[in-house]
Amino acid sequence: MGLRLTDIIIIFSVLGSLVVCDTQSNNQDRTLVLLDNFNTKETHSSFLKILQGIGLSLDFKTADDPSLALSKYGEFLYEHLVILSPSVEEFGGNINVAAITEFIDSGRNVLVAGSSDIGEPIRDLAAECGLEMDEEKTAVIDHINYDKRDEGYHTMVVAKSKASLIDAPVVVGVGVNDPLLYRGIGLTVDADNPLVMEILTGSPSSFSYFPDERVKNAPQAIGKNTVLIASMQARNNARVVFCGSLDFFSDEFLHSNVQVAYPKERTYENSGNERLAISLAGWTFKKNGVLRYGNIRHHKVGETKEAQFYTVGDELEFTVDIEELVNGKWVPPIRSDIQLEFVRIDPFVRVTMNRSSNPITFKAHFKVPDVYGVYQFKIDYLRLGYTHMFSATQVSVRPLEHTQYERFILSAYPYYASAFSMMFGVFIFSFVFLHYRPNDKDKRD
Amino acid sequence: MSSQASLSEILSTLYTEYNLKTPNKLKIVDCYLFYILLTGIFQFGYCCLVGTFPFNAFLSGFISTVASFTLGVCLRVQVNPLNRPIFKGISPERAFGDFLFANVLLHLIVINFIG
Amino acid sequence: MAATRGICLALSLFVICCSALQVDVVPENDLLQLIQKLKAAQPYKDLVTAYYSVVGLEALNEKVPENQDVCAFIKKSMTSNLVNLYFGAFIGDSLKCNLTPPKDAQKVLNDVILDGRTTFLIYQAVGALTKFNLKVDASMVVKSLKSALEKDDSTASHSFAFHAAAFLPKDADIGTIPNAIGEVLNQADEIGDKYLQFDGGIRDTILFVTGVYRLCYARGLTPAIDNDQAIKLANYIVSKRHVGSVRNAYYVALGLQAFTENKFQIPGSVVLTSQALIRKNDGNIVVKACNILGKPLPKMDVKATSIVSTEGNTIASDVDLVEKSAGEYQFDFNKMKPERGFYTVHFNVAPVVEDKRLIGLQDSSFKVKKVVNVAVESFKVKTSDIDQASVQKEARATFPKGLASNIQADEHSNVAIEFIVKDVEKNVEIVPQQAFLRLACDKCNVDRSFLFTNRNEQLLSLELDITELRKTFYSQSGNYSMDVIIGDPTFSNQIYWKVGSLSLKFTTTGAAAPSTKIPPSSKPEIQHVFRVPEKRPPELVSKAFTLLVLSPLVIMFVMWNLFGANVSNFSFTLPNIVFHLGVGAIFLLYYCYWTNLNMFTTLKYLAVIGGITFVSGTSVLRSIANDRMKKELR
Repeated sequence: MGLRLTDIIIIFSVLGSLVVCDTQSNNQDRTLVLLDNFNTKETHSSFLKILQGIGLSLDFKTADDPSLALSKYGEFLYEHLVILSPSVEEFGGNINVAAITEFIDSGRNVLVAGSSDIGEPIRDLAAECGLEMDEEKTAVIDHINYDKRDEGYHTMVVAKSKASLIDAPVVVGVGVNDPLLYRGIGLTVDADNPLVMEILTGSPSSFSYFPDERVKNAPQAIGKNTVLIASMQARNNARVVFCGSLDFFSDEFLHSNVQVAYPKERTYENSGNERLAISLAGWTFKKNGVLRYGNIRHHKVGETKEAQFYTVGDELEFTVDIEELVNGKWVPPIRSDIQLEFVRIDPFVRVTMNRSSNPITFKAHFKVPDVYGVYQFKIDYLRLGYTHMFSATQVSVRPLEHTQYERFILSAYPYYASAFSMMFGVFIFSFVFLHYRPNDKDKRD
Repeated sequence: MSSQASLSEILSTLYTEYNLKTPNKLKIVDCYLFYILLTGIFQFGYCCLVGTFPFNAFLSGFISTVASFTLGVCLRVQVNPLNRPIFKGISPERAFGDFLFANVLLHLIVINFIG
Repeated sequence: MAATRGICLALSLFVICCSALQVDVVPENDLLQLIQKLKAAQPYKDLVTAYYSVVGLEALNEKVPENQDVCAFIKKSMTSNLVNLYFGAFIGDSLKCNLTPPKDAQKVLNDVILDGRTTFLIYQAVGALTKFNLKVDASMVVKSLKSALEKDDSTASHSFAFHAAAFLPKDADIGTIPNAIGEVLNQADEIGDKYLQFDGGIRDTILFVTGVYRLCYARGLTPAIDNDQAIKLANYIVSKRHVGSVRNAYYVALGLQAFTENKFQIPGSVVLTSQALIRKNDGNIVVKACNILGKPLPKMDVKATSIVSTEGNTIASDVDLVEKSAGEYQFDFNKMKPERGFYTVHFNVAPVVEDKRLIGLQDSSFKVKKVVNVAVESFKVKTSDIDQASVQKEARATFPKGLASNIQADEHSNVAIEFIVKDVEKNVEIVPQQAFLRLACDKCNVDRSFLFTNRNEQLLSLELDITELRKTFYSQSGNYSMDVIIGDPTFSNQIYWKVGSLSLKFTTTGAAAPSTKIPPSSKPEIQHVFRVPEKRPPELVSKAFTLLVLSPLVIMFVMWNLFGANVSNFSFTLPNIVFHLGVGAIFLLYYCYWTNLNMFTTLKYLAVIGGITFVSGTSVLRSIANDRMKKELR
């Protein structure tokens, strides 16, 4: 086994470069996980395993660690952020609410968990995202839908999936029928905000208040307006999900059964927390519900080359390849309601695209309107739980050339006849006029 | 002459005078003009009946008749021996030459426009 | 021995920790789940799984299910390699299969010890030899262990060395192997003042704990783990009770056994086993003194030193608890005649017979809650018109029946609702924490809740001024269901009363209420409406008129005939022919232009033909003119 020095050097440099390459490719899903203390790593080990299972490489730090940084020399060090430190009073290092907002503005995703013991930074972050978290020490209370094991202030709340979970399978998954356990702080959402989605709301009897005080002022979060899990998908498609309960993701709640007291006592074998946590993690960190398009082509029906311009009345065909990310893999989209608009200031044509033989290709087929001008092929697809897909391709539509009009029209035959008749008339007339010899009875004046 | 003139009397007088007084050559031109007139009227009637589509064809055909009529009238005026003194420098042949030239131009334009 | 330290107690969500260290206990459900996980591994397909399941169940004192003849299975699978011998030996010993080892087992196992590559392998060999009652060369083992430890001194390596040394006879010299205990323990990490664990997680921690205790017991040494560290290690193991695999279940089972069947340190805890809810007819508070597996500790003296309400009133002190069954002690809280509300009960626990091994037992407290049954009384709904304040309609309802009829209200109405909540037992009026009125109309997409207030003593009331609430209801007229929600933590019955319905009429129905629930969806399709082409006449009409238009030509010929037109003067001279043909050609050219030429080519041809026609034409006209002049001069 005699390796020469040069061989050893080569081997080490190759291995070293492999290591470097490996860490760089992992940057795709490097995630910073902020904790109150490392105890959370134990109590939430199942959820952290779920995150690793969807492909995230986790970096654990306490929220007040002085070496915290989201970006260095202008480049972001992480793709995702998970904040499991609701009680943090001040973030350590270079992280603060502004830095996290910048992180979101760059298109990166964040998952935040709250609790009754909430600190100002998390409340401020929620406010930046269009959500309002209730005050410190308040909790979501439900005296009707609580878990029987809660023998105190009824803050361990049960949410029944059918009534309280949003109907968006791409966000919450399919088949989450089991009741959900929740213990934490309440959120409220502005109904007019189009970017915010109420993923899980409380039951009509729930409300958010100090658990040991009588309700003196009408709480903002009352009944169905008590939001338990909410999300904000920014215009750059960054996803931020707030869940007011850190316990929602704990090993205890994920693997627990659910025991309700009303309307009659009943035990459900499994809570739906694990299934919802998996779906939610997949959605938040862009493993689901992402659309992309490519390969836009448009041409006149019957031709294959792309047209430089169209003429009024042409039949044209538009094709585009669209893919959807499902569980981290690009597949043909599940939905078939993608529409194409042909717009010149206002849409002149709007048609739903059909699939072609290739499952990822969608095509649309219509007649160019008889108004000329500069048009755009617009795809503006926005659905609950999906990223916003927008594409605009400019194309010009010309009026008919003077040689493209209809000729030899049947209903104009009389006019054609008249014109030629005139010409024939001149021809004959010239004969007769020039070579007429008057008869003997010639009248000369 | 008697001032009592009924329409039919006027017309028959006109007709007789015309027949007698007009040289045959001019009558030939008149027939030609009448033919153009009829063609124009029939075209116009067709247009009123069915509408102006296609408008350029109608205009072309109709104006072809109108312009031909005009040119014919000009020829008749210039060729009429009674008008000789007015058209001193223009012989009937020259008039015909102009007539033909104008017609050639006219019909070129008509065919261009008729579509 | 009542330790002076703080408290523990896990499960009840009410536990108050007075100072430092709690001892966590595995809840019964979770213990059953753990046992179930081990049992469910049967039928075993390989020795490894059988080993984990059998040894794990033995550690928890559970019987192995009898769905499979495990002994036969082992006999069949046993071959002469280290791993199979090891598993076979342990399972056989646990199930008392009386296996005879293969003939070369001794040699194979001795070779492994001699080879001594890692302490893990040595441990497996020594264990197998011991369980098979074969001879073990102690000095060789120790020598091999020492050299293996020099090559690998990780926590796991040392732990296996402890395990291996524990099998050796008491008089064998194991040298400095036990001295490493303290060093290795220093490498453990403390988390959150509650847990102590090694980097390798469950496996390393449990291997260490079981190794140390076994070795110290076998050798009569005292383990160098202090009480706090022991409790933290135990807490860590308890926190790992939710396992995914049989392997992890085995480790957790061993770990739990280590802290319950221990000659040195047994963490103990006091747990509330009864409900923390005290009802009128069920006021027993039961506490259990148990180890981390929830199994009862020997007899204790348990006393409730004081019972204090949330306002600070002490309603009782020094209440003795009576032993209810093994390890459980109870007293009747209702005997203190508590009022509705929350109370903190402070306990003091001391073992009747002193046991130095018990650690972690301290003064503890629990929160309990006295609940009462309530009822709604004197429920009234008064509707009045703002303009005519005197006109009032009053409707009453008795819980649980609802209102007899619909309540009608419009923009000028004022609806006032009032009721009282009474403690049924004491017949006293109470103001609950939550008293809401919910008005919901699904069709109109409006769902609002309003707060009842008690401006007037204990009477709960709410006034709805419909004019002011127009905006809240988005002016949506419709039938709103009225629900009264009354809740409080200290009620044993919470009330969600579907009282009736309220019919609201607004004169101008506003635009629909906004809803975040309606997701954006497809927009309506647009088809461009093309300009309708002008109507064309029927074919027949066009054709007829074509003929009509051509007819004047015929008329012209007829008229010419009448006049006697002729072409008698025509002479077949060249210019004549050329001229007329030229004219004809021009018009033919025009026809060709119309059908398929363009202006440029036409002009080109026209220039040529026109030129020829012009030349011949002038010649013709000149000759005609000459003829005419001759005639005129004559």
